[in-house]
Amino acid sequence: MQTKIVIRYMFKIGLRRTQSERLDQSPWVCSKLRSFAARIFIVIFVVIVCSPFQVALAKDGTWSSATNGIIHFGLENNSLEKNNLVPDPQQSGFKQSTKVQTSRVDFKAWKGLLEFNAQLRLALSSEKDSKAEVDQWYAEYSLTDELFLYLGRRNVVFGQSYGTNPLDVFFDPLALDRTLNEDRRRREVNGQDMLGFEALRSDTFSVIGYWAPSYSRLNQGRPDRALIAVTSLFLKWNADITLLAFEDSRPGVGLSFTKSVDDAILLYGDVSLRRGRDRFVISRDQGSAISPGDFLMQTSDHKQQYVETSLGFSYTFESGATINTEYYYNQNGYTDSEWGKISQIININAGNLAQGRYSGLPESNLLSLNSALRHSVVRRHYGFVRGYHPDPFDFGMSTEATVFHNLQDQSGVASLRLEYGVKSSVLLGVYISTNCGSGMDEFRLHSNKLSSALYVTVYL
Amino acid sequence: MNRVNTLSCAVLVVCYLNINGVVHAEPDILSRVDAIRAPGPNFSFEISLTSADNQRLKMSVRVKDQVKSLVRYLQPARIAGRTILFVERNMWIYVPGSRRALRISPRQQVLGGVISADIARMVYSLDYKVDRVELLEDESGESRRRLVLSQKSKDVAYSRIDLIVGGEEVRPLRAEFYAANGSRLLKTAFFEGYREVLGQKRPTVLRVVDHMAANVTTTLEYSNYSLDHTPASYFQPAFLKRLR
Repeated sequence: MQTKIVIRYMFKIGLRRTQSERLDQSPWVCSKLRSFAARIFIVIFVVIVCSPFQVALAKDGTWSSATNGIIHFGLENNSLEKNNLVPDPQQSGFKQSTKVQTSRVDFKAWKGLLEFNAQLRLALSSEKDSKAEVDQWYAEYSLTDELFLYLGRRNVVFGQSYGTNPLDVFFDPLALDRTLNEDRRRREVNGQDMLGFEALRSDTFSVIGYWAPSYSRLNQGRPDRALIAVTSLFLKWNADITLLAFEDSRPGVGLSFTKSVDDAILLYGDVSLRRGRDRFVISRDQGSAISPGDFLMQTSDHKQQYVETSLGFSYTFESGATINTEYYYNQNGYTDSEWGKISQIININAGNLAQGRYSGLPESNLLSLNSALRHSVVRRHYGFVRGYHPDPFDFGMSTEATVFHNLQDQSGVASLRLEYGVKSSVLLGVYISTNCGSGMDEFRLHSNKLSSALYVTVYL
Repeated sequence: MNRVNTLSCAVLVVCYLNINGVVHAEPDILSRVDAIRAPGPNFSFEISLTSADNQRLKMSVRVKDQVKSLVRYLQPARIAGRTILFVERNMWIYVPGSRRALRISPRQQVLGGVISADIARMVYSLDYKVDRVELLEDESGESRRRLVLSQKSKDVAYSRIDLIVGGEEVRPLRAEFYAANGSRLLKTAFFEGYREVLGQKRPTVLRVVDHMAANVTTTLEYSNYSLDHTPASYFQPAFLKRLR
């Protein structure tokens, strides 16, 4: 396995990336090509958007628009517990109690064949920096009822899985705010700046493709990306299949399938196969003991393919209650051997910290490790169960319970959400999640024990 | 001789069936019922749904080729923009926040004991066949018949429906929906508010009583019918995010 040293965690502070690794992030585009690509991007913008804009304006008809939005008030609380990796949760930046207020405006305007979309969001927090975000802004031009061209920032998602979605290939699940419900969770995140098309053939076939270059302020901090997806619906078999191919720092292919077995049972699966790995591992020969002088290395390993898959089953009862169960496998995650070494390094540093050895270094090492282990999942085998009832108590309150369970160390996170609609435009919600496990188990690794949120959302 | 015997037997059987209030089904009787509920293969309308706890939903519905439906939620504001696509026995939901269309099962509910399939699917003749027809007591001076329907395939929402129709024009008056074993009554739907719509008297109110939830009643009011041809590409999961 080819590895590149990027962190010398014991005697150097912080995460540093090598020049070669930076280049690895976009191996298919050199700087000249990138500059050329940006010019092409601008030309296409003018041709695709501005020309139809003129055509649309010249046509009879008026602009139509629709605006809606939300104002959200929330009180979030985290019960934290120190452990070997996070000896001081407060110092590591974890906050116990936070007041949040989010305002979101969704705007759409259209005339003839042209449509503009935008989603603006202002997030205020008592403990974090306030943020003003443009999650989406794009123009779309309908060449026909079946062919669309678009340019701008948007979120495009594939896949059917509820727990972890292997086909949301460019999205880091850590960016999701789990206290938000399904209606908002994947919406209130930044999209990608892209140029794309969608071709829909009749009612059974579609092709979606886009290019999201990284240049200047476009997709800042992200690699160049491109994706093409082909979906075919097999109506007689109550099934559909989507095939994906994508370019990224970890390029690959994907497959999604869903099938309704009868009016209650649904089978589905999402699989991606990606080149390379994005994990830090301990480099150490077999059999030799872990020592404080070891290195934490990032694997780039562009020769090997890694599988990520989620296989699911859902059943809807006559009462309307629905259960989803999913098995999730992530080959990119740590093996038992790799995880054992990481656990040892964490424990050695925690021991040094407790004994006051190597002044200051154990803290910074643990901070670096904590940062390097920030992934939505770190191991390989998981189970997910979701239960949802639209109104179990017959007074308009929906209930959702989920469990995400690590099948290797038996740790997990369980959550419960209750939401009650007051009149037509106010939603009251309670969300509680608890992390179960012990010691170095995955879901107790980052010190979270119990999280809760109480929120009111007003829909405008 | 054989032919005479067969004919005699047939006459005897018919007499026997009539004596017991059971009559033969006209071959196109379900299509005639469907034609009263739906003004054509391609049309659109709006539904206002009121649940027992007085929650209200408003939806716009587009139907194409009888078996394709697009249901878009207009109100309340907190779920506006959700869209359900129903193509034959396939069903997807687009929740704007999820940024993707998810396949769901037809049994998944909308509100107040009304499943999505009740709203999106308006054709009995494609999903069910008439097992027998029974003449009912004439209470209001109008002839009434009970059509006992059974499922054509197992992937429909109900295994048996008893449909009560009135008059020579076979107006649907009441439908009783039964569970998988065919004996447990799940819901009763009353077709009410007959009005002149697109050249024919059609029911504009559907009252659904859910017997599994303490007889909770949900009322659906149909309005703004029009004969529309929606492009075929609209009935694709990938299109749902565009629907205005």
